[in-house]
Amino acid sequence: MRIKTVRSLGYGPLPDGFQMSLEASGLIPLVGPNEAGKSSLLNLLRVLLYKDRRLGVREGEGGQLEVEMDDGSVIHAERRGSRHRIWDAQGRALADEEWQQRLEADYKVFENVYAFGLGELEKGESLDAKTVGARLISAGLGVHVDLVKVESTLAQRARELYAPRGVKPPLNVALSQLRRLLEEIARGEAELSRYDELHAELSEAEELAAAAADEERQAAADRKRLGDMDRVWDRFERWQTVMRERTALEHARDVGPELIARFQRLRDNAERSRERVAQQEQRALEARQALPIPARLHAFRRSEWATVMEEAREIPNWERDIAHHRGAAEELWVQMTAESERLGITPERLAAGMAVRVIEPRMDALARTRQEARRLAREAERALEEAARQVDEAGAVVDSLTDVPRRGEWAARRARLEALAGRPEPGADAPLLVWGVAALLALVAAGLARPPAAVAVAAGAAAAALAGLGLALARRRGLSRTALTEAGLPSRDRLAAERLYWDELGARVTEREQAEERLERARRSLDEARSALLRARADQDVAERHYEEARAAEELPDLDEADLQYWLSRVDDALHIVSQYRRAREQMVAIEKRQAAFLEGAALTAALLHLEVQDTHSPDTWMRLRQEWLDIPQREERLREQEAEVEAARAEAARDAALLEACLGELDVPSVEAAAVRVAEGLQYEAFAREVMRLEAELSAASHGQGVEAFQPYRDVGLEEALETARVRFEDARALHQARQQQAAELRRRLSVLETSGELADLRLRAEARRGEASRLYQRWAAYTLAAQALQESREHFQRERQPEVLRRASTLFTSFTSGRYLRVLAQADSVRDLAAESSDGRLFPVEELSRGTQEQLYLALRLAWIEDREQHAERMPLVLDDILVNADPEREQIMARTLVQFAKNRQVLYLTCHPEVERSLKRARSRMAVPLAPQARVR
Amino acid sequence: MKSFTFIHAADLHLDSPMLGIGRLEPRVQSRLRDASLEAYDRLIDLTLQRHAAFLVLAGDVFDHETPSLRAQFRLRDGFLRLERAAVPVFWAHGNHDPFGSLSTHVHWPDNVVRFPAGRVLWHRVEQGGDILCAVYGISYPTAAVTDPYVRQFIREDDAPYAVAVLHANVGGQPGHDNYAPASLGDLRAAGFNYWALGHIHQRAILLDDPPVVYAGNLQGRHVRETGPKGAYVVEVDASGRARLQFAPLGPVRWELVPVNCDGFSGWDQVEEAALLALEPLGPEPHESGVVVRLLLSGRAELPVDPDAPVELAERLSSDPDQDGPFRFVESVDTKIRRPPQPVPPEGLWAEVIARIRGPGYEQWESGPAQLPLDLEAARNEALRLLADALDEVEPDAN
Repeated sequence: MRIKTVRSLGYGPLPDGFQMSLEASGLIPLVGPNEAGKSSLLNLLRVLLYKDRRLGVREGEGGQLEVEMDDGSVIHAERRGSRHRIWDAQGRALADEEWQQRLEADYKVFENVYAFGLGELEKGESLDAKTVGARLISAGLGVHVDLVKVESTLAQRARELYAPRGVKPPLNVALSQLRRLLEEIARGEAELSRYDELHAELSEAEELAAAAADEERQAAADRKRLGDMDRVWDRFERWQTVMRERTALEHARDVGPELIARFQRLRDNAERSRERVAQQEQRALEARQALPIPARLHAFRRSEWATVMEEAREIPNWERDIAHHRGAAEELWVQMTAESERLGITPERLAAGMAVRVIEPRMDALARTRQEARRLAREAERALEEAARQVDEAGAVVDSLTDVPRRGEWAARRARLEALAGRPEPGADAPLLVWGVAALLALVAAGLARPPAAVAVAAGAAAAALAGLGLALARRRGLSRTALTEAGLPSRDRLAAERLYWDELGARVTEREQAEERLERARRSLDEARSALLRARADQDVAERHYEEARAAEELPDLDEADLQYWLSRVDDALHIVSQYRRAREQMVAIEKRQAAFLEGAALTAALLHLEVQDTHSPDTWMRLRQEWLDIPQREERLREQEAEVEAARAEAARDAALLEACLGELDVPSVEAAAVRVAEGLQYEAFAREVMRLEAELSAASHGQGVEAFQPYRDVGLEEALETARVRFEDARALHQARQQQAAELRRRLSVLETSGELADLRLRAEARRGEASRLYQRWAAYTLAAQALQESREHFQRERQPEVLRRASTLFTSFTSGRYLRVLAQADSVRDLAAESSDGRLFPVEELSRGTQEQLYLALRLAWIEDREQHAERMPLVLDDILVNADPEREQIMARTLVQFAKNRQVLYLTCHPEVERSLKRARSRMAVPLAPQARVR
Repeated sequence: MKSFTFIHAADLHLDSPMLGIGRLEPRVQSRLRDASLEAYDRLIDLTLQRHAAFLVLAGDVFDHETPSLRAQFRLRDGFLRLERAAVPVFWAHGNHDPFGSLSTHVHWPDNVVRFPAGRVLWHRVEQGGDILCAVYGISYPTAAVTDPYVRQFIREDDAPYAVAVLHANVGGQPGHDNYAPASLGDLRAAGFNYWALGHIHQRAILLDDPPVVYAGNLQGRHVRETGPKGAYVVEVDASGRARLQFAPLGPVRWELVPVNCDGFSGWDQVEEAALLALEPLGPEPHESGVVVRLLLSGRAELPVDPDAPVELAERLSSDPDQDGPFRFVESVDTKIRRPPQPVPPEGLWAEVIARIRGPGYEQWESGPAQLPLDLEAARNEALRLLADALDEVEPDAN
């Protein structure tokens, strides 16, 4: 690539519109004083070629660039502030990535190797950064890579597979698992070798288990025997007791079983005979007790009872008849219902049919009825109005007489006035008073004359005198002024007037009473008229409704004539059945009445007979009584037979008692009781003997055949201790037996596992799989390790023995720059940090020990060598050098200038300088003509 | 003479694991583990079905000197079945189950004849009063026998037919221990009618008259023992002529399947080619399954993916959830090389290649030495890895 034109759009100190056209290869000095824009031009080229984030351009500044690529194509670039675009001759825009691919060098390479000043040149690190430095060595590989990175990657992958002391890498894991599997296999094989030994152990364990089982059985038997003995220990104690008591009854030993048996038999016979007599007597009594009703019937009103019983015979027939009629009625209902459903007869349809055939002829009558009801209602209304009018009239009369007192009040006032008028004048009773006093004196005189008669006369006279005195006093209190005032009368004259008034008022009181009576009558008439009106209106409503219903019925849909006729015929049938049902119901009711009458009569009869009849209203009761009545002859016969049985039993009882008496003689005892005692002792002896035998059998069984003697040792010490000892022995034996069994079972299990398990084969198979996996991983690890080691060794060898081309070329240039003072540039494989220069006398000088100018010459030599190497297969780039020769002495400066001119033969080299001597050196080195760096500069 | 049939089997290697198997899956594990025992059961079935007069086992019945009891009991149970059918068994012990150091814990039935160690013994086989043949044999006393046992085989019988049972490397076949070495001429000269050989697991008829036969093993044990495995049914007619018929018995077949990957650029192409290669492999109706190792070869630019082979093996195996016949790809062996690159005759790259190819890595010191290493494969792989790694870092250059 070479630059054809570059133009500033106000970039830095470069004036807007500054343009420079470069149309040829070779070294082109660009000369100008300080601040002429040399560094700005270098930076402008950088920002035009690369859109790197490190390259900032202020808004409003920028530039344009036109370059020609090695293949002859032309590319344009433009930068305006942050906007950067690149396009080809056809105007097609190139993406940044595509552009860099065409350049085959990123910004870093360009900045460090192609466009640099002294600052970049003096920093050796700028050559490194994984790319430039590595290329120094990898150039010898034919590829351009970071070999150390390759080595590191390969070694890392090998370490990821296996680490000699690692745990997690897969090969370590696989080997570890393989080791464990092999150990398990070894254990399995060891177990296999113990197979016979295990068999022997099993035999021994089984023998021990059998012995332990015997011991367990024996201990169990002992424990059971002692346990059984313990459980029957009370029997043993009973045995001891029985033995003692039997000894005490030795005297009864000779009574003998035969005599005992005979006595018992005779005693039992006598007892049974007595019991039988009692039983027969009881039965006879029951037979008699079963007779009372019939027996009394025989004697009393038997004929009436017979009538009752005959009636009772009819009871089932009545019930049957009732059931029959009820059934008939129900059947009829069912038939009618079914028939209605079958014909689809509903009340509405029936009404419709009837309206046509029945209601229509009645419509006139209904209309008349309605008309009549309406008339009656109107008359009732008029009557009501008349009654109301009469009430009003009577009310008015009564209202006009409201000031007339009622008859009671009037009568009371008048009577009071009459009473006042009837009283005497004050003092008019004085003669009577005198008469009284005289009578009193007469009495006193009579008393003094004849004491007894005189006393009586005197008393009478005294009483008369007192009465007269009292009367006189009363008269004196009668019509006084006070009394008139109380009556509201000022004087006696007024009393008279008042009497006259009140007499005349009596006629008006009567008049008021008559008026009120008329009013009351009128009111009653009004109520009656109101009621009559209500009735008339109700009748009218009914008539109206009937009429309207008939009218509505006339309008209902009609029934089919045939159906209606048929249904009407069925109604006739039904009516017939209904009439039958009614008759049956009547008959049933009659029967029920008859039954009730019978029950009443029968109950009365039973009461007369003093019969204890429960539930006299139950026909069953009467049927039962009737049956009893019929059974009377058999019962009488049974009573006679039972009485005969009683007699026979009594005879047999007497015979048995005689035999028992004879037996008592044999026993030599006076009574049955004594004989019973004797016999009981004998029996007790026999019982003891039997119990002893039974107990001894039990004890023998409990002691497992050892008999009573086995219990004797434990009479004093007890069984518990021995039992506990036996229990402990049994538990020990059982535990030992179980342990032996478990041991044998475990051995059998192990043997079974060995005989059937595929575990060992499984382990071997898994070990093989693990070994296979480990081998595969090992193979991969070996490949990685081999690659890494071979590369590392080769690189180191190459570094030692065969300098890469870049270093070799750099050495040549460096030797030239230093006029043979130094012969070689040496570098570590992966970096130029450890650069060294080998002097002509073979000494090595690390780069930092070289002078500044010599260091710059070495770095320039390295860059030029690197560029030559790179551009063998990559796009050439213009080299832009910013006054890099200023630190060189004149001799070396001239040599370097010549070298640069030579270097620029096939590429474009721009050299920026402000030093005239450098410009002269370049001229001497036959560079192109220097270009003064000024606005509108143009080079051709 | 009376015609008869016998069965010639060898190298049963009962309870042998599948050697060098690359991986396992639970579904196939028990079937692979039991394959040798199942093959043995089939051998007994075959003997009974063909009404064989006797069964010959020419060594290496067991895989270990301390065989599992499971294998011992399985073997005995098979012998008992033959005993009930009055079929004798002639068993010559080989280097894997030498008579002297074989440790067994079962009582072998009376129909089993175990030839003595280091000494030829013969037995007469009769049927219905007729002498059918004489069977000669010898057992290994120890695992390694270098004596030429063939010289002890001298006919002493009066039978019309004689079978010799020997576990040996006839003709010094490479790749096998040269135990009881013998030459074909030795065998021919011994005058026997049939040589029932064991030791070489690839069945072979070395000579037709008299038949000198390796029956091969009953069940393949690793990837080098591919194809059907089984026993020979030998039918001897009245004229003494033997007609051999191979009976496949191994339930699991090993196959090594090459896949040419020339020009491939992706693993999907490899998978497609592998599927085509696997298609005709079966398994056959009488087989439980096929264990396959894929061998990828050729020059191809495949993406570097260390897990790709294992993933490919898993994908190419038949559905592991099914219990039926299976196809199990136990590993994928990659021998793929990159296409030839222009290599400068000199320079670092040339030196790297020279170092990888050159001596110096035979004794690998820092690796786990108990594992086998295919150094040549490792060298090829190293070169491929190196090239891939260089490719990987290249974009960072320039």
